[in-house]
Amino acid sequence: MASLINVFLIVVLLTVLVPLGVLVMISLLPPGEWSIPPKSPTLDNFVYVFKEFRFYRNMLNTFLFIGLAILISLVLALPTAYAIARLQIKYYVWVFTVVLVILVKSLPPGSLLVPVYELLWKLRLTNTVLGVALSYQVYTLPFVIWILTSFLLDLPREVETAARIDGAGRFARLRHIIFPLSIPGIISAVILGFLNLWNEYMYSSVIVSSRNLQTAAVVLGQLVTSEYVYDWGILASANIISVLPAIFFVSFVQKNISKAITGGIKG
Amino acid sequence: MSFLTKIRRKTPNEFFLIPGLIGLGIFVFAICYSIYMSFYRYKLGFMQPNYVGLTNYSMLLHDPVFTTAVKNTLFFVAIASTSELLYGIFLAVLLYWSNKRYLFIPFLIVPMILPAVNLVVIWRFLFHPDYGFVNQILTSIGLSAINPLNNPKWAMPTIILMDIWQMTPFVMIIVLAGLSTVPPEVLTAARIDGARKFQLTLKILLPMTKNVILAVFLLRLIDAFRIFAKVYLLTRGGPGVATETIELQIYNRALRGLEIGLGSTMSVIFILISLVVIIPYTIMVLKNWRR
Repeated sequence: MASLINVFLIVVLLTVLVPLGVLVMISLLPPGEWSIPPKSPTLDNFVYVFKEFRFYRNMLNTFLFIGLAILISLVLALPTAYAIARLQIKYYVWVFTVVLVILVKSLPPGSLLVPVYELLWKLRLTNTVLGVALSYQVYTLPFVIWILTSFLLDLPREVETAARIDGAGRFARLRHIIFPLSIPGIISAVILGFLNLWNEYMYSSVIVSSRNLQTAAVVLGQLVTSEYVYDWGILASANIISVLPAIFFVSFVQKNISKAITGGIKG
Repeated sequence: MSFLTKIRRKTPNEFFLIPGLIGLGIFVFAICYSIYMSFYRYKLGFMQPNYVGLTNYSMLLHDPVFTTAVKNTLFFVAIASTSELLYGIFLAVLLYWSNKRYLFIPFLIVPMILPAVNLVVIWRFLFHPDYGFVNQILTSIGLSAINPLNNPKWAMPTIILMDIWQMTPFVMIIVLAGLSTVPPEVLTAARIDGARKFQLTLKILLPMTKNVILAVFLLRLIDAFRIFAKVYLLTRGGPGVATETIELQIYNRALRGLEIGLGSTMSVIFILISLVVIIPYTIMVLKNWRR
C-alpha cells in the first residue's frame, strides 16, 4: 500500500518536474534552435542576459521597491498588530479594524488600481520609487498586519505580564519586549512579502513607464508578450535568473514555510 | 513624573491602531472615491468629471465584452479553485500516508513560488503550435497537432490548467499541516477497531480538518480573482474575448484609456462580486482572532 502511494506521488512529481525541466532546457538553446532536449546546449544566453541586457538593474529595482514597501508597512503595522492582538480595545473598534484589514487584504488589487493610480498621478508620484512602494501598500500593509497579528496572538502572554508588573508601560513593552520577540514574525512577513511581490505585474507596469525604473517582472512580461518571440533561450534564461532570489528565500525558510503560509489559519 | 510620561500614561489603547488605520483608511477612501466617480464620465488629463448618473452602469451591463469578462472571471474562479481544492486534498492525503513525504514536498511546492511570467514562458513553449513540446510528442505518436491558446474553446481551460499546476501545492501544504494536527491517539483507537487507511481518511482525518479545508478554500477563492498577470501575459484576453477578465478590462479600458469614470464603475462591480467570498472569510477571521 505504502509503495503504491509512493509510485503515485512519483507520477505527480513528474508532472511538476517536466515543465520545469523544459524551462531549463529552453534556456540552454542556442538562437534559432528549438529541439528539446537541445542538440548543442550553450550558456551564452545567461551571459547575454547579464552583460548586454543588464537585467540585474531591473532586479535591483524590484528589490528596492519591495524593500521600501515592506519597510513602510512594518512601521505602520507593528503597533496596529500589537493593539489588535494584545491591548484592551473597545469591542466595536476592534471589529472595525479587523474587518478593514481583512477587507483590504482580500479585495482584488485590480479593483483599487484606478483610484490609486489617479491619486499617485495627482501627487506627481508616478515614475518614482516612492510611488511604486506606496502603491504596493495595497498588498503589503494589510498582509503584514495580518501576519504580525496572528504571530502575536500565538505568543505567550506571560512575558508581557512580567514586564507590566515591573512597571513597564505599553510603549516600553512594545519597544523592548514585543518588537524583539516578533522578529521571527517580521522575518516571515518580509519573506512572504518578497515572494508575493516579486511576481507583481499590474501596479508595477502602470505606475512606472520609464525603462530604467521597470521591475524584472515587467521587463520579462514585455518580452514574452511581444507578438513574435525571437529568442526563447534568452527569455528562458532571464526567467531562471529572475526566480533565483525567490528560490533562495524559500530554501532559507524551507522548514518554516508551511508554518509561515498557514499563519492565521487555525483548525 | 515627567510631562511626556503623563501623556503616555493617558493615551487610550486605541491610539496604537492609528498608524495602520491611516494606511488602510487611504484605501477605504479610494473605494469611496471609486463609488463616487462611478457616476461620472471622467477622462484623466483630458476632461473634467461630468455627472452622468447611472449611465456607466447601464452601459457596462449592456456591453457584451464586459459581461463576457464577468462570466469568464466567475467561470475561472469557480472551476480553478474547486479543482485545486479537490486535487490538493488528494495530494495531501497521499503525502500524509507516504513514508517518504519529506522527499516529495520540497519539489512539489516549487511551482507555487514561480512568478507568473515564468509559467507563461513554460506554457507558451509547451503549447507552441510549430515546435511546442506537447505537439512534438503528439505528432511523434501519430496524433494531429493542437493549438489550444488560439482556440476560443480551449484557451480558458489551458489557463485553468496552468493555475491548477501552480496553486494546488498551496492547498496541499496547508491541508497536510491540518492533517498532521490530528492527534495520533484518535487514529490508533480507530485502527484497533479495524479501520483501514481509506476509511480512516474519509471518516476521521478529513472531517477533523474541515475547518482548515474551509479556510484554504476561501483563500483560494479570494486569490483566484487575482489572475491578471497570468491571463494578460498568456493570451491578452484573446483569442477574441475568450479569456477576457474584469481585471483585464479595468487595465486596458480604464487605465490604458484613462477612462477613470468607467473604470471606477468596473471596480465597484468587481468589489461587489468579490464581497461574496470576502464576507465569509472576514467572519471566519473575526471568530479565530477573538481573544
